[in-house]
Amino acid sequence: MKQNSLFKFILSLTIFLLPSILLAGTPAELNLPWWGWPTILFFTTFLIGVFGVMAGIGGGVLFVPLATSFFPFHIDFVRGTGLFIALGSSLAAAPHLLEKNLASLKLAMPSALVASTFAIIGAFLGLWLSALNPAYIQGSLGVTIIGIVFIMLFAKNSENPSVTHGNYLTQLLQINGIYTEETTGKEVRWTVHNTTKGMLGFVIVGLLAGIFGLGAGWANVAILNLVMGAPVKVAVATSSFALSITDSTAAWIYMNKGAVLPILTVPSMVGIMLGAKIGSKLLPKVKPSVIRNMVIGVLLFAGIRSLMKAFGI
Amino acid sequence: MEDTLAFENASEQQLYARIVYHMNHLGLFVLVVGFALYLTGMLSPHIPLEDIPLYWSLPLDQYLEKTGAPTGWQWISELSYGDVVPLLGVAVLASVTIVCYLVLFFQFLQKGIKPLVVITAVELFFMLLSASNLIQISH
Repeated sequence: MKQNSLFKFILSLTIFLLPSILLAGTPAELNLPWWGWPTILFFTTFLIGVFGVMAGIGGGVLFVPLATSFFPFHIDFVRGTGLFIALGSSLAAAPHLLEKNLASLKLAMPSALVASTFAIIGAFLGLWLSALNPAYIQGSLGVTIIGIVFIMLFAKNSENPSVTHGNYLTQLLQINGIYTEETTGKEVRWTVHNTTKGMLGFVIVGLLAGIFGLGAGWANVAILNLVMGAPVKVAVATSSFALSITDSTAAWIYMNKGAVLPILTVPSMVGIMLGAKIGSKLLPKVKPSVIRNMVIGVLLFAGIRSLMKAFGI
Repeated sequence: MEDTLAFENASEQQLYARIVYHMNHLGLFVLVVGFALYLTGMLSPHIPLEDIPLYWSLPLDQYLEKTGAPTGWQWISELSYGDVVPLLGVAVLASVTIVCYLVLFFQFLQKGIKPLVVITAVELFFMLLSASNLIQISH
């Protein structure tokens, strides 16, 4: 049974990587019909959706480095699509997470305000750098992705951090809440601390979201859980929900600049949403750590490839 | 801490969830219908589908120069084109949070929760500013 599951995972991962591996470095040379690349994109985003949910990360962080490295699309359109992928996934997940009180509106609002303000600056910075030389974006994306790999490898979430004292900002904004832990049926009451430090973290999250079109969920969880002390379930759910606020400002900028190509954006959004639905159903049956390690491997590969592309290798 | 702090979730949270749920479904429906109109050729596009691979690898400025694709809110007046009509669904999805925040703003205003009124107002300002296409940069 275990071997069977493992086989399925390896097979899925092979399918996931196959277009990228086979077509690496030669997208422009392939003479595919107009529907060829959008179709490959649809299946790739579908698998990103499946694996992204199972690994507990948003789709944008996988999509942007893979699509810029292995597809023929210009990085400007990939980043625009990446933002809408992150936005679409977040909007799809938000109602359930809010209704269950796992995502907190009171926690998301101040953090998203900081992140979305800097996402605007990031979006303009990204478009400006790309106009100067796309290699600047490609190279810094590679470095960022490799940095994310290290954060994912070494940051350990804390299940239920003990926060005994909120600070002034926490009390002013009434950042606290209650949710029911389904495994035990117990009510968990929580609040946060280190709010100012956390907000500084969201400055970086916003900039990265705007510059690269990344959802930055990987960073949100670390800040909310490790820095501010929100329970890990609240941190994951609030991060997922807050992306819909953060990314909508940057998404509008990319759309206004004409960087949203429906032929790329629509198959990607539909693919990732379908994939995320399947992924969330498979989630109870798989070992998240195995998937997480696979995704880290793919990210590392995509990050190195992105860096190589920037140097014309 | 528990003695001085009343733990509660924002009562507006459930309303927010319902708005997101309905607007997200509406946005996806409009997006898929618009894309179907584009792919089936029921609405002719600016760029024929078979020529699109010639343009998607171009930098944004060159792409805009060669195709005359709409920027800012121009797309509203070009909804009769197949490759523009899917943007309507994209715009609905990008507007979900703006609508939610408008509702939140008035709810917090009514309840007189000043810090949250300020946060929603500032967030709305930035969201509307980025949607308005009023901020520009030169290369």
